[in-house]
Amino acid sequence: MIGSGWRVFGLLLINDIRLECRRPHLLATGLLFGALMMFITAIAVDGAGDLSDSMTAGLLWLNIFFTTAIGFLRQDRRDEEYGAATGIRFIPQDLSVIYYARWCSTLIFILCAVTVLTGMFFLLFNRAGPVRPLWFAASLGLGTLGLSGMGTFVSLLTAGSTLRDVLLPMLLFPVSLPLFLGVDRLTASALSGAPVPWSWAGVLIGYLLMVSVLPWLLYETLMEV
Amino acid sequence: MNWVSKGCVCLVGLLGLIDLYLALIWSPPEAQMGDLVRIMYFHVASAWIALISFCVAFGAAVGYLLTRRQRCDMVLVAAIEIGLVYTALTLVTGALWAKPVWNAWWTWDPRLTTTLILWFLFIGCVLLRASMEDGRRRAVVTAVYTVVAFLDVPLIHLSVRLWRSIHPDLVNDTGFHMPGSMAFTLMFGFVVFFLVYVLLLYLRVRLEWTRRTLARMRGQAGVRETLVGEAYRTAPSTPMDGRR
Repeated sequence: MIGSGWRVFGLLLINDIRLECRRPHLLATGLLFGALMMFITAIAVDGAGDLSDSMTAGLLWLNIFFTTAIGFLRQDRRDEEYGAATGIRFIPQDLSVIYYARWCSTLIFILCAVTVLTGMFFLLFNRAGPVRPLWFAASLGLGTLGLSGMGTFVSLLTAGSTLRDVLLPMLLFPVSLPLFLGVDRLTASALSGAPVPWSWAGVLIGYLLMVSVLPWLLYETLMEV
Repeated sequence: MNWVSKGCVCLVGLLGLIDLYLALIWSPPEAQMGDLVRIMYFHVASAWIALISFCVAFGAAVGYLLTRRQRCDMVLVAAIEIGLVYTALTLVTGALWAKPVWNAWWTWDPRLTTTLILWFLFIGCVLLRASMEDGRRRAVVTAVYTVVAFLDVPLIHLSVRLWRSIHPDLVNDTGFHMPGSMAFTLMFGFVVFFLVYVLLLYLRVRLEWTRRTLARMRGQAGVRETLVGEAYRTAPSTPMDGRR
């Protein structure tokens, strides 16, 4: 049964990646919207390279947050267009497998978008690279992991809502606040080379644990209705 | 509204007047803040009730997910709506108190930030619920979001506390840091606010119950009308038609 679960997970993941390769909606919309957001933010701060590290990290995560929120809307619409949203409920497995597969595929797409956007961010904001590049990459990876997990869950919550476009970021941001603050501080420390704020790393790990466990308990209930 | 409800409203109204007397006239002014401290009796009580309401909503959400009883869903919607009002009251009274004391309407203090996030969570729940048409899905989705939000709040508070804090600790593990008369007024106010909360919760649940009963009756009447209409259409209009 466990082996079968992994098989379903793999099939769903490959299916998502294949569909995205065929019509790269999520990547294209994410990248374009992200680029536009970066551009507007850079104009708003006059392309200043002298911003403090915490402000730079905040601006970077603000852009990533909104880009991600747009991506979730796009991915769910694809399921609705192909009619897969109904069919996927009939898999002979614990339905939370769908969540983990979707989380993983969304993470891959968003990480691709985030990598490009981060490069663009350094370019547009005339910033030198981070003092601790590995730590910076880790904070980006962990932040995107948490954000894509919670976003996948919240996007299912808002699936039947008529105010979905507005509600998704509105519901996502309050529950992602610990993650947002945590990655912001970690990114700022990686940019400046300041000592690693381990308390924030703890908050981030706690959040990731919550995002990993809660949907396992609740996702099936949501898929039933 | 029945006589019991009217009696409860009158009793709570009377207690509210006593609370106003205690808070605005009887209790002494504070040494540094003077009469400004009187906002505290409304601000603190609202904040506590908002948190209680969030706990009630969480209990109702878990109850609904486990039992699927309509009653739990009705308590959930009532607790969320009333919690939203109390949280808004906390934020407004907090801002009114903060301006003369901290010289700012708003500071990024953990409790303020957590309360604002709580308000966003409440309003998110209300909007999510209002924007869904399917009754069963609406109930399940609201319950699930409430559970996630409730479990997230301690993490939110911890993270915001790590971020920064300047809020005074008037009441903590070691007790009340204020004179007895002020502590009495604060607790009396809290009891009154709690009674108002229970009354509002009861009335809101009754309203929801009435609304659903009415919808069910309308549905049944609609079905009956359809069946009668169908019977008229299919039945022979005259005995002659029948014979033919």
